[in-house]
Amino acid sequence: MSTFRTALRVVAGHPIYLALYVVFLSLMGVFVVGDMGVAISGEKGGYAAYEARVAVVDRDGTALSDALAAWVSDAFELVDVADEPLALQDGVATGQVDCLVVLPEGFERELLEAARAGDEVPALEVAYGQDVQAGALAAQAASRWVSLAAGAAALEPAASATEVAHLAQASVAERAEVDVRESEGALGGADRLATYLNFSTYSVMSSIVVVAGVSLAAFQRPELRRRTAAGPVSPACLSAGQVAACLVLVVAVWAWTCAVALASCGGALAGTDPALVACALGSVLPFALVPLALAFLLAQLGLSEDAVNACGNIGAMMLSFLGGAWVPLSMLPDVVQMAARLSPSYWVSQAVATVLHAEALTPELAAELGTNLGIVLLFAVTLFAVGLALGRARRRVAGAA
Amino acid sequence: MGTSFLVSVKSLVRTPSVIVWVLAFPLIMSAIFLFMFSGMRTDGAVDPVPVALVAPVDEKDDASAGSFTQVVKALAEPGEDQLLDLRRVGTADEAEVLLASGEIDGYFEIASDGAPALTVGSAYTLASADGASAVNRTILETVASSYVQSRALLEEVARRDPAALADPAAVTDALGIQVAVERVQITHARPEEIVRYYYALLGMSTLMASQAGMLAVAYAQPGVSALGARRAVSGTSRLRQLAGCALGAWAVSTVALTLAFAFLRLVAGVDFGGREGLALVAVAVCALLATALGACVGALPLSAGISARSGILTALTCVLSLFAGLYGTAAMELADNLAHTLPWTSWVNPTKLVCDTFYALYYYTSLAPFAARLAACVAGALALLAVAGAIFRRQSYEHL
Repeated sequence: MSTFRTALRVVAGHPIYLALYVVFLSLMGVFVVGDMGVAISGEKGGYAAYEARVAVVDRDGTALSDALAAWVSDAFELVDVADEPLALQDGVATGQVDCLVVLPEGFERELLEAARAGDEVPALEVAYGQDVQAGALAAQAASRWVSLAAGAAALEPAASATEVAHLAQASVAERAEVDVRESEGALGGADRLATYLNFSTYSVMSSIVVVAGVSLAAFQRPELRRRTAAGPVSPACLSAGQVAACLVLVVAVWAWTCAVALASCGGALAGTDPALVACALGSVLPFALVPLALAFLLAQLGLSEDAVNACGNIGAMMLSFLGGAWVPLSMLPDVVQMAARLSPSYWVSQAVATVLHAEALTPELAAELGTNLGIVLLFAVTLFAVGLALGRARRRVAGAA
Repeated sequence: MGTSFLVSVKSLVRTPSVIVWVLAFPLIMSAIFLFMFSGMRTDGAVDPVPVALVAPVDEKDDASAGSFTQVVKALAEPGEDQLLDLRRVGTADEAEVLLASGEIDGYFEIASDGAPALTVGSAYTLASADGASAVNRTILETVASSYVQSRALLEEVARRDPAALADPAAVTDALGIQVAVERVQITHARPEEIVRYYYALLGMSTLMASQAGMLAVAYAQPGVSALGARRAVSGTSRLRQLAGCALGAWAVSTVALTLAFAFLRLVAGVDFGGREGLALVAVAVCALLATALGACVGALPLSAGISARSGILTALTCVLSLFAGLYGTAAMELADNLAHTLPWTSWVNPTKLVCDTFYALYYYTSLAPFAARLAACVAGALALLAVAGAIFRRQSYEHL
């Protein structure tokens, strides 16, 4: 029991690791799925027009340019940007603005004159931001508004600029009706949870490898090993205490991950079978045994705290990357997709995706889930066995066994 | 001081954690980013929106002037201004199949009165979770609306002055006016979101390099190691020791970050706006800032050893990188909003400052913002080194 308590004290003695790997990384996942909530909520009312971010640089200051700016604020999200080079460059470069529409001095006069004379009307000057597609959308819509104004001016040669603006405004308000069909792979509320749990393979793996690794490595220091070996406690009891403490850590990290997942994604889960959600959350627990086995392996190798930290962090990053935690695997090259099958995070991601995309918990689904999680557990068993073998070999070489 | 410099360089390059965190970490992260963004790179051109036009084969091709079909065809003309990737299908059922499979974002059907009806797919799918389909759907709706808008304009003009529509040719000409869009570039280089993530990564890597400064200075602390205790009683003054340690760490971190920069530029193909020479100057100055931060943490009068100091720097790096926008779209928006509402935070957060230094070099036509950020890096480094010097010079070791 004292070994168990000591192992937990070692864990508690590293609050920075707990705060950084357990708390901070799991909250980082909330940022990763942050914009998915907006994306999915936009679908609830059927068709909703995309609101590009548009800035209008009005150097004309006339009735027509004012009306165009007013229409932009109705149709899109109007962004206020100062008309000076650095501010304009900042606007398009930082993604504040998808499309910057420049209305030069003389815009109204030149447009009306050209439209009424039958000449070519001046082009609309625009600059796109990072999202070129959204910029093109706004540019197309603004060009349509100006075209309608030019058409109105040509049809009504005597109309004032204010009347032309009114005609353009009245006609552009007419919109075509749009029917929506659900596409294959349309995002639902459960996909938010699936994405979070997919990302959490990184936070769970790095936190358990580092924190459990530090705790296990503390018992591998030569001085401590000599003292404990001379004590009246059997090696089995010592190991059991350490493993029990690490299992407490595993369960705590899993529970924290589930709590953050439900807090950040719970609102989007209406309509999803609670049993399926429970299965998805439960899938993370067997996966959490893999980093524990990895931590055991690293400790058996006698790595220092810094080395465990580095291996845990970078190793977790690579393995979770192969599981599709950072970017969907479908977007990666074929070689990476093949290599991904050698990563336990791939199989737990498969398990979570299978469960959350199912309608109900059926025996077939349970069998598929069991297969995926069985493979995950095999990774844990293999790493643990390798750790045992290497630890034994290492002690024999050192003459300590 | 020269000896301290040489010893610091030698000991740092032989320290595994320096090799891992200062040299290998940026390269591994860059490689991961390279894979992540390999399918997302854009050439800055508009991707034509895939759309189908339902037109039965036995129906006469309606391409009369002003018809919706003609408008759609014009927008699908290959070239720089191509907005639509049009395919014709015989029936609505065929279009439905294409829509369900995600091959098209929508389809048009033309009613008997010539008005188009638009059907679109889901805005967000697993294949386009970034909202590309949502934008494309609205582009299609804008195109479809152009027909009803022209009709609304005619009705409004007829209501005001019916005589204005007396000449059909004039009406056709008026409705046929299309204002062209002229795309201009106001930044030094083309806005590219991916580049900003690489710059944020450079910010994080730079802060990781502060581990070298911390280790070099902490090893000279009597409370940390026996070597530090011996160095404390040597004939070399503490300030000269600090200068040697800091210079050695600066040299190591500059070399490591230059390698990371070379990887980004030559392997990942990250664009630095054709200003690579100035970018290398920025790498050296940013490495100085990181070294100064590390030296400051290394000089802190903590009873804890290297691991605790390393933990402090790792935590600082991870948290500050959040406000540089490293962790995805939502984090980037948070960083942008913070920089917009509290601009001073961009100048005191070293990760954001490093990120903005490269960003200023890439985006601004003027070099003044870049110079201002370099000056801020140097000023920050000098301030931190002054603090490190003040702490390092005289410390009480009563607890020993």
